[in-house]
Amino acid sequence: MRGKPAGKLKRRGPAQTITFAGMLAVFTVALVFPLFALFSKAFFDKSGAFAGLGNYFKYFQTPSLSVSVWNTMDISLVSTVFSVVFGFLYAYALTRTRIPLKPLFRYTALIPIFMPTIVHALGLVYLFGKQGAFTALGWQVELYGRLGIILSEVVFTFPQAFLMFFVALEFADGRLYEAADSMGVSAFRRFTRVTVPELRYTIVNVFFVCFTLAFTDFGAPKVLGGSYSVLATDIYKQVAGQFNMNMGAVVGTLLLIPAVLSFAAGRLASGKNSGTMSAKSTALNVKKSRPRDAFFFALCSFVTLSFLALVASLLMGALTSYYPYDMSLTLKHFAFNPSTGGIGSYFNSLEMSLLTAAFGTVFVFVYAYMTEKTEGLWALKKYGGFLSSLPIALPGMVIGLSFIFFFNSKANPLNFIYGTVAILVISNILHYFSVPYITATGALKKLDKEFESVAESMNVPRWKSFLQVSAPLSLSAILEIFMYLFVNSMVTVSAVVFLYSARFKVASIAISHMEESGDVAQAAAMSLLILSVNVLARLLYETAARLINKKEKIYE
Amino acid sequence: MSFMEIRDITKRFDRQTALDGVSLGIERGELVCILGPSGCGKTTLLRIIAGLEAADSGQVLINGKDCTYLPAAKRNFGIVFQSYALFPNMTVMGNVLFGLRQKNLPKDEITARAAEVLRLVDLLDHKNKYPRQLSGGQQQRTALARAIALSPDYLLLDEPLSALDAKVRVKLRGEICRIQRVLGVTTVMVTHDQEEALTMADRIIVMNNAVVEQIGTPREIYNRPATPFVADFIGTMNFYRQNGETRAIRPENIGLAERSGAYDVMARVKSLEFKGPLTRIHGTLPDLDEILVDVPSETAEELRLHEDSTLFLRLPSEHLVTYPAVM
Repeated sequence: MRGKPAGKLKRRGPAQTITFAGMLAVFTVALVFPLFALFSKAFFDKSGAFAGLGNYFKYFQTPSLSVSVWNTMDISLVSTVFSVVFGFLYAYALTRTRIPLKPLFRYTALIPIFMPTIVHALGLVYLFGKQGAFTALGWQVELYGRLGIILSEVVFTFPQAFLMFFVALEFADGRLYEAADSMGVSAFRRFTRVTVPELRYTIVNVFFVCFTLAFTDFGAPKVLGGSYSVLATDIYKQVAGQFNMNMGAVVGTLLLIPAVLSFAAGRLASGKNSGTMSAKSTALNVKKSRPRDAFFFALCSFVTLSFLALVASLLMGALTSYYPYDMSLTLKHFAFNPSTGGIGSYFNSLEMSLLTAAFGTVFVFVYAYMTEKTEGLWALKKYGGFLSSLPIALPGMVIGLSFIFFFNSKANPLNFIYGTVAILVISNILHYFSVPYITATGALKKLDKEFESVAESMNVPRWKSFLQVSAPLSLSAILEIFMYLFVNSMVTVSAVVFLYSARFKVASIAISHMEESGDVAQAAAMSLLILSVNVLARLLYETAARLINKKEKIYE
Repeated sequence: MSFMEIRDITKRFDRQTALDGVSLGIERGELVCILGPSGCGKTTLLRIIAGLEAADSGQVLINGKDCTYLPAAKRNFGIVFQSYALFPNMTVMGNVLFGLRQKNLPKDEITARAAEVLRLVDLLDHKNKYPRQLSGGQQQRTALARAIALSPDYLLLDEPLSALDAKVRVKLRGEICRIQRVLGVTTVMVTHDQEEALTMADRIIVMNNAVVEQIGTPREIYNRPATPFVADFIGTMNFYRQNGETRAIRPENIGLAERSGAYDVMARVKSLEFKGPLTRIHGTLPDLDEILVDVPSETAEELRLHEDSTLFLRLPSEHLVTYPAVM
């Protein structure tokens, strides 16, 4: 028996129940129904007859198809290993050494986050392609195919690895290191016996996050794949090229492999998460060491210069008349061809991202409030918790594909949102739900659980205490969620590639089309526009966060 | 009929029973303390009185009305939590106004009421400060001001002083009593601190293991503890067996007698504990049971008590409490 009241005492009005149930219903329609549509497609053949596992047999018996599974595993594994190693070393450099220029290193490491993965690939083309800057210097690289994809995925996943390691290393307990030093333990032993064990859950998590991102990425193989096929491009070919929806669905379900694996491993790892930080933890005092700092400074400089070179190559491409033949400066590439999307696609992206950020922030925060702060409603909360754990396992392409199957069906009364900005916004909110949800619940958990009781004792309605107490006290989390949703919506390709329409094309897709049709300079120009608005968004966020922090100092 | 009637309330959490058939009555205008060790069910009882928790069975009557399933919002009470739960983003004034704004009153009436309440708790000078800028005692009084601002029918205090320093705590005890008397508001306070309960309460409800052990005035509870638990939990008590009964007497009620005079029992001094005005004698009875005796320090010095001194003790029958059960 749970702590469920036998009586009829109600601490909440019907409004709360209706709101929560309504949100769960929306979530169900947007997530569970489309997934069901996707899975059922995978088990039926073209004529609509039940095929059981027939589609899967056919898939694995066709070498030209099934080779993608191994290719995808291959590039994901290799790029993940690089990202984990570099991400760790980079984070270590910023937290455990005394190198100069740390703020610079910290921010340049985030550059790839502000660009679609297509742009990472585009930058690599500028550097290592046939006309590439490094190629011209005699550095020949077989960019198209396996190597190019791996390079691009490293660029894509490195910032994620770095950020996760950075957070974990930043909160190290200095006492452990002092204890190790007082026992005369060697630096290497201290590293293997203190640092690594402390990080083992982070390492597992980083590994799976990077692996999943690389496994499901569409942008890099789209540009650099050449004849090297991976699952993400295969889905696109099946669905958009051959209209073989059933086989597309089969490949779509295969994209869930790493997510399912990481889900299982993540469960095991998070079972006893670090939690070593206590009130008694002391800050780590980093000792001087010239050779160490020299090594890490070189490493950070290498990574930072690589990312800056990527941006520089885009600037070079976008701002010169005809790279590399005519290097005179020009802005003409910012006059985009309407045929590939035009400047309209940029405004569409802004509109979509702002709407995603606005609606997404409200939805995520209210949803988190419902699961954290309502009394009773055990069944709804259980179901809500279950739903909230799903999106983290879903690659954007799977969401996009399942949306086509569900919303594009003529029988669906919601068919009218197909091809509009609404379906893009919904898919983005779903796609990026997990991280904001964790941010929101984390912020709400920190609030005194009796705030609601106090408000109730004064007969102040719940929505008022939500607006006047819970929401303002979570302002920095709300801001962070808004920024996260905005930036990610600006750069997403995978979720929207199936869902944009001729009427509403977004910038990341336009870049891909420009690149395809040979307008590479315009693609670079558009990339710069996306990068600028994201950097601007980040700057605004940092400024606002600083102001809020200053204000919260008074009362927190 | 009492202002508040609790009838046979039972509440379970999972497999644990928090309240097991609790019944009691609270009179209008009195300050009642629910006293007991942690986990005895006292906070659950308070939350049921507040309507923040639902009883599994039983009844809560307030003002003659069945309120068992009346939501908290409809009960018109004020509450102070152990954590105070002050809104950190609002000033002292803002916290007090939070509930007042909800009422459809003219604005100047609302501010006047807030000022009145803040004057009562002596915080008017601090009205524009945020909770973080206040001392623990000031935070506590802000929470109290917020709780009484709406002129509640009754006031609930959940361990209101336990987060404070000893000195501040003693001062605030008097402060809370004063405010309670000025307002004449029926007040139920939960505490695990017996001294707090003894000094503040009109009546004390002693709870243990989900049941009420005794209800009475502080004097009754102290002088005539109804059960061995109450006797042991409040103050210090000597227990001993006689004629198949358990008898109990407080250390300060034991008298010293002459060897030649009438005495009830003989003891040997094991150690002496100087406590300022009183000296506590740790003694051993002939059957090796321990006995505690409090004597004025002056007397202890006059008698030149030391280890191994022999004492002749009188156990006045008017101070003896007897229990049928064998301990």
